[in-house]
Amino acid sequence: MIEAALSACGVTKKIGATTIVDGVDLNLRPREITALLGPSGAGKSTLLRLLAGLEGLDAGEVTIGGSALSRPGLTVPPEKRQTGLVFQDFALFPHLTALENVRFGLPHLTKADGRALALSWLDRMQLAARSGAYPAELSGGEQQRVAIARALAPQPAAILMDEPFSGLDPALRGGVAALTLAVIRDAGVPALWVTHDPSEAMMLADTLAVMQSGQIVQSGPPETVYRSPIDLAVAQALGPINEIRLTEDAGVALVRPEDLVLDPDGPIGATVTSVQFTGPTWRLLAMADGQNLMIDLPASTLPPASGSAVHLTIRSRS
Amino acid sequence: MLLAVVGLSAPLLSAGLMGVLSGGGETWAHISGTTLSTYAGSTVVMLVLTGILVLVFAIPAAWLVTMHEFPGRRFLEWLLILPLAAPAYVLAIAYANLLGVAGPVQSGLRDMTGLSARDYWFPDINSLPGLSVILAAALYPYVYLAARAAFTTTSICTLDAARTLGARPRDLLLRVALPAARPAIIAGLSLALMEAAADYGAADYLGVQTLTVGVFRAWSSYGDVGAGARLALILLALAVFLQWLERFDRGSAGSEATSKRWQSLTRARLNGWHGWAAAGFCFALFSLGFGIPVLRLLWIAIDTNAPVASLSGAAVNSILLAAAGASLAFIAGLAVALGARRKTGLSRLARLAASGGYAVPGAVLALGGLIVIGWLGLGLTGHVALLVLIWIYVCRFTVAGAEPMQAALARAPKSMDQAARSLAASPLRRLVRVDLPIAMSGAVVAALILFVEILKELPATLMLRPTGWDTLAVRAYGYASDERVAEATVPCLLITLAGLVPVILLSVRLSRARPGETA
Repeated sequence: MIEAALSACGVTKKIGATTIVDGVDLNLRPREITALLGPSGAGKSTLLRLLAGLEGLDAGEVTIGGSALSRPGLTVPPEKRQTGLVFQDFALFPHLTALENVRFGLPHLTKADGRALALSWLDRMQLAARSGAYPAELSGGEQQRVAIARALAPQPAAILMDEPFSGLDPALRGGVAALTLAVIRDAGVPALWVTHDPSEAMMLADTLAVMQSGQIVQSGPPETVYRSPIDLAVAQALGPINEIRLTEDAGVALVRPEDLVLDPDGPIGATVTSVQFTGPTWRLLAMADGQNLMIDLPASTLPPASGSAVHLTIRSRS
Repeated sequence: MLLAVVGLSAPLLSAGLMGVLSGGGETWAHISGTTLSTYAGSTVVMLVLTGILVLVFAIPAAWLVTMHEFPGRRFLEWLLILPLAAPAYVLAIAYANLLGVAGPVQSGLRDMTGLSARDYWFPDINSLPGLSVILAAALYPYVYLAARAAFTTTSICTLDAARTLGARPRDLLLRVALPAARPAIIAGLSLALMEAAADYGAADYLGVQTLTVGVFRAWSSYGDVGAGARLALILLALAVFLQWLERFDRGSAGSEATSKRWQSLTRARLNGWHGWAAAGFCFALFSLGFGIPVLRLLWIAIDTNAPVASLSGAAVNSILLAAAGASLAFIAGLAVALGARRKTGLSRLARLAASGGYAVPGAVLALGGLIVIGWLGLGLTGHVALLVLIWIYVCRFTVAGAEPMQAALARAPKSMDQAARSLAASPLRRLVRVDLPIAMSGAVVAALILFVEILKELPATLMLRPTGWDTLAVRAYGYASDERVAEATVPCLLITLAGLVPVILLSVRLSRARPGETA
């Protein structure tokens, strides 16, 4: 296995006059899962297709371990670039069993070796017992696990996943995603995971990259991006956020709902307009100086009544 | 692939070329001076009448069985497809016998009233309207199937939305379902009209002089291939128009399903006489296209103790020719279907050549085949004739074999090919390991359709078969034309019986198809 980074440098793709991907720099390191977040139409899937060699790029370069895979006029085709692909619709071969699907990418091995290797990958995905089943006989979660095993078995240099879990039942999703990403991390290859679920991405990825209008506007460890978003749009991409204008000249502070706490001496006076129970928290909506605020309190606390006046302070994080 | 393009298009192109080049021979001068306007006029009137009748038959039937519940619906839904099994000339033979002056209907009428044949008016089946009714009865399933599939796949959510917006049941059909199903209905209609224009047997038997009959006559009566080719030019233009119609607004977004949520249909229950009227309409349609003619033929066969043994030779010929033609057309169809996946210029040409062959009447293709062997300096005898006949079968029916395999491939998502590429599979490996097995899931249906279509084929076989190679279709037609209807019944029934096999298979496949899939 080659342990090398998959890098995009100034990657640009235009369709007609529209720039879909605009000068993207992205470095995918081995043993690291990068989640690519962003609204629909931000260019996430196109970037993935450019990295996979399914499309040619108009400017910039895609390299792996320093050797070029794509640049204008050159596109190493998918079958030659050793990148594993995982799709939202699984894309299993319907006429092959789970085992045969995984073995498909191992034609250079003898039948026995290929079988053994494919079985070991199915086993890692906790599917050894289902190796003889056809895709139609597998559940959605099982199909996706087969697809991941199939992509990993040929020991690709990188793995690219386009919303791999969004076709799954919400109840299954968390489990399949955690297992899958653990196996991928274990395989030691760089991985790109396109998703539009910020909480899943923060929980399971090592790096977040937020894409907007064809550009990657911020990337870094999940906590950094969540706590210190560079602008309101990035902040909103990761979850609800309050814009609080503290004084006339101090500008705007971006504060997460859980960072507003009740404090009788707090500087912000507000009136509670609604109280909602979400399970882990109480979510209060409040009005302060004509601004709408959202406040999350732990469910163990007693929430103020709707209509009552409260004082709030911003929790400081060092 | 290049071979497929040349092989599939040669008869069509040579017929066209000959039509343009042949100039006006004596026969042509004769035809254009006398019968050309009859040929063209009756073809146009026949197509218009048939088209209207097909729509009037098929759309209400499809709407009734997809959206309503009434006595016998599940059974009728299936019975309504059966007319696909019987070729139009079989219906023509049965109805001409049934409704002719000497037939049981008119005899019964005379016995009851005591009138003689001159004293009353009775609709003449040997007429242009008669032909149109028979063709519509035989061909309405094309539109019925297309409309039924379209009504089923029109998202139920869309219909529910219309309902919540206050649409009455009639509005649902006229304002929501029909506009959404329009491309499918037009495609089905153009297929039905292609078949109607290609029909030789029914028209000739009923004495209606259509263009296809004209092409055949120019060759059989005058021996003039050039004049036939000139007539064929008009049919070629018609075929181009119908092909264009079939593709017309097929790809537009306006009729695509917008909601991916599928629910099982809740059918509106038709109670009392409404329900029985619906069942009656559907049953009448089935009887017209299948029940009555088949029962009549069966009746004659049993009543006259029609001879069976003398048919064994023709049956063997039929099976041999159909097997040979179907095997080759299957291979060509597979190549076309797999090629369509790759979308190269050549594969598009092959597909075009194949659908061109299907759109053109067998008589015209046979004429093209005659022209080609004429140019090669060969005579139409023995092996040459057999080879040319099989070649023409392949040209005519390849696309019918390609269709089920292409449908199987179309159901596979695009990402599957991309997945195979990312697993380092070469183009050849993707073709052999991925596309081929997927295409083969449509193989049984494709092979059966091909076999039966060739079994039913009449005009090209009539024109090209060497001596001693009469098929069941040729025998059926020959006996019926010689007024030996009793002897014609058995081959007619055998052909229809064979035709039932793929039709039943098709209906099973349809009932299993998940909503949202085109079966």
